[in-house]
Amino acid sequence: MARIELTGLEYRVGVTRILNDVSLAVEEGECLALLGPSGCGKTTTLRVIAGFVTPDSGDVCIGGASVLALRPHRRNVGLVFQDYALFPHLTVAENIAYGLVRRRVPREAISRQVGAMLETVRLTGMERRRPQELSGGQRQRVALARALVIKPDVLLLDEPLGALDRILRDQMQVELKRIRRDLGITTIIVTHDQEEALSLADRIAVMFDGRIVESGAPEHLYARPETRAVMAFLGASNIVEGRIEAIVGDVATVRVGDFAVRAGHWGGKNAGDAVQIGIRPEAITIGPADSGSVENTLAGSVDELVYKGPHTEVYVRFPGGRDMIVRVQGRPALAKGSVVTIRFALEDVLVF
Amino acid sequence: MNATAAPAGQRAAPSWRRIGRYLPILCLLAPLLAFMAIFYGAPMVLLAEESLRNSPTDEVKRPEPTAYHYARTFESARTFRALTRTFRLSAIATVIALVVCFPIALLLIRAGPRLRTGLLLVIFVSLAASLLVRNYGWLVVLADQGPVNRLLIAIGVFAQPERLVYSEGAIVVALVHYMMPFVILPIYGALLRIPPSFGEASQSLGGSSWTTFVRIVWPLALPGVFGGTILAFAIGTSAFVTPLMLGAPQTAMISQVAAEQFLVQQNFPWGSAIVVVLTVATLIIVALYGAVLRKVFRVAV
Amino acid sequence: MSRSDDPSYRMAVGVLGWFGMAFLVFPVLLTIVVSFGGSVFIEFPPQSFSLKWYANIAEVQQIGRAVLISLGVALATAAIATVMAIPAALAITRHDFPGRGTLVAFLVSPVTVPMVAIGIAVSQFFVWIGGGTGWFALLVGHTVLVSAYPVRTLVASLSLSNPSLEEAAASLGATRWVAFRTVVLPQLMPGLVSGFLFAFLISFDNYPISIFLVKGGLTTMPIEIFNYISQNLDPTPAAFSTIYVLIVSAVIVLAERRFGIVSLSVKG
Repeated sequence: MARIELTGLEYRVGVTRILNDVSLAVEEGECLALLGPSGCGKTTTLRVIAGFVTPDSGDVCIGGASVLALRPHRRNVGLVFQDYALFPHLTVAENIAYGLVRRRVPREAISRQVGAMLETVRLTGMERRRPQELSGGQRQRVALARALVIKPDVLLLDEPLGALDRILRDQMQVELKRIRRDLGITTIIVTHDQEEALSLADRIAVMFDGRIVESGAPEHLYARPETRAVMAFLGASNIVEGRIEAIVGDVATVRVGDFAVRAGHWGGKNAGDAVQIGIRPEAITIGPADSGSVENTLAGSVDELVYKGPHTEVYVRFPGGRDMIVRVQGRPALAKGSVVTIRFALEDVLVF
Repeated sequence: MNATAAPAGQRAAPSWRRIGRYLPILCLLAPLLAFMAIFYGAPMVLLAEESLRNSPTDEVKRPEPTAYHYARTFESARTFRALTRTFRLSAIATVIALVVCFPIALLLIRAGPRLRTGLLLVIFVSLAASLLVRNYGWLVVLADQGPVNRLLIAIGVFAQPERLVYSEGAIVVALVHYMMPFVILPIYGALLRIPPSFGEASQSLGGSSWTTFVRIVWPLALPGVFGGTILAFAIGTSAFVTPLMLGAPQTAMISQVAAEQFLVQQNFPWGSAIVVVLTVATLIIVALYGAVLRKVFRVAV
Repeated sequence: MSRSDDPSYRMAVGVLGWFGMAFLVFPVLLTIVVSFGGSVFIEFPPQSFSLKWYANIAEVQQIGRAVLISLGVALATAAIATVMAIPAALAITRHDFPGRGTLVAFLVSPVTVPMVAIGIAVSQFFVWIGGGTGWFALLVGHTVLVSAYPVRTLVASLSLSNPSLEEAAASLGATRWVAFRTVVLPQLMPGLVSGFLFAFLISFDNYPISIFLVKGGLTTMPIEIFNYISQNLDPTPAAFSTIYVLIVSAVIVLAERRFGIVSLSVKG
């Protein structure tokens, strides 16, 4: 268990700048999610930490010491690959023992530790099986066990839940959290799935085009992102353009088409600035506001209803052609075309 | 067309209807199958039959079918020596070919796309270049005034040019060369199927590149190794042109002995017997090899 | 095998691998150099330069006729073998039938069965049935040998292709023949071309089967060249080899550019 620090990583392939001054610190025992779209450089960052990619400049420190000069097999990292990379010609036990054999751990100790790790990932009894005989979820747990049994300084996971179906994914999320909590190991998860990041990480670092644009606790990044791009990437959102008309006291009024939207925060912008405002669909309620409430209210018509099971997404159309998505619990009795009022609080309006 | 196809839902159709189901397949296979059956299958059977006859030069006529020629193949010192020499040289050449070709396959894997295509083209041209050309090339390399002799004289191993050609050594070298494309390609194919993440996983767990090779790459390349070496060995034992060009009468391989009986001695029964022995021995070894792989190593060959 | 490998490993693979490639090309390269030598013996390095051995090729007994015969036989053999192999490969890859494995093993066996065996067997067969003409026997013997190759490459090519494409063509109004011509055949091209090419080259170069089947005045290029080599020590065969290798290289490079045969054969 160690602290990881990346400083100023730069990496170019041809003319493309894959890593653009990437700096990051992960505290001991912390779980950080590197979140971003495909091609943003997150996997490359992982491979730099593991040692498969040498950056053009910058440094990688694990436990306070630079590991840049070390070959991959000398860094004490535990890697779980996207395709699990389980050796098909070895049994489950032999796969897990692989790293211990390399470290010349004596035989009795190996079988003890392998057994203990199998218990941790809840695969006792599978020692003699081969990877080909296991299900996807089981394979992932073997890959995890193999990486953890060597007691690495840091655990690196590449898209851990990507290959699993819905139900398995939810189960593995819980499993991963439990194992992490028990072992307290510093972890970095690389993913393009914001749900994975939100559910697994203590802290999220969002990466676009080779640089880290924002990092912070999941709730903070979700509820109070600093940029429009991060808000759009992390969950559904309604984002429209407007202009700040006036700032009076602790309320900013933004003109969006025909409407005036009042916001409780305006991120350091000034009156007259062109801005974008964002509102989460679940922050909007359908129905008129109580008298005396200071919420924003807008009138529109129901354009489309998409039932999702636990909730329904209602597309409300406003004059001027704009749609807003409203998340409503269950299945509301709304007819297409009917006129509705929507309301949302001032604090839920984000201004970029 | 009469109703040869059984309508859906009908139970236990009579056998002539079941054959009808395979009729289109049979039509597709007919030309090649008929051709091979007539001009390959039948002749081979005839060959086996001929080997059981008396030859005109025999003094004692035995009742046919006779296994005399088979016994003679193993009893005749010269023929038996040729037989053992054939398998010995072929085995040696196969092992050497494996050692030389595996690094080439590894080189292919780590080469960039353009280099890889270039190397593969060279290998293919080598495969396609006439065997005569390639063997002649070795006659040139190993010639009395050729580079190998000159080099060995220059570094003091030889005092004067030694006769390197027309020997077992020359045969082995040329056999290795002949076998190479057949060994490289299956190994390369097997290596291609190893995902790069396997090597990285091994490294992340503490395995150096050498350890990774021994523990991960080699075991997973085994199917290709075995496929290539089986083919190489079969080619080696069947070799005719190579020992003919690079060997001497004392180094005759079994194909040459068989040909001699046919073309020179006109002893067709014995020649056939020798050929049958060679063919059957080769097929048995190939089959055994494959069975061992499947059962013992659980390799899919 | 990546940039993160140990330098010692990378160097070992490089050195051994390139050494192996050098071993592969060395004889032919040397032959090319020797072909320009002036001496009447094979010597390296050549002490003088001359093109006379190239001119001397024409002096090789019957070489013109032998080359033409070999060309004709190889073309015919490759064509017949490939044409027969197409429906066979279709049957093998598209349908599962009892005995398929055995059938494939039988059809492919000429690759491992000693060529001498095939040559002897076929020549005896023709004696037995009262002797076909030399031409026919030669063609048959070669076809038996080479037919395995188009079968293998076509099967490899077909197993990569997609049967539902034919169904799509049918739904768009193509008859089976049209679908075959416009959808299946184009997909088969790499397998077809490489199979034909291999069949041609193996037939053209073949000695062990030809030697048993040439009758009367029939002769082939390998037979004449081999005769020359056994009776003469001069580098004329080197000149011949050089021309041969250059032509074959050109053909293969062209075939690769146009049809991508190299990558296909690796999957076999």
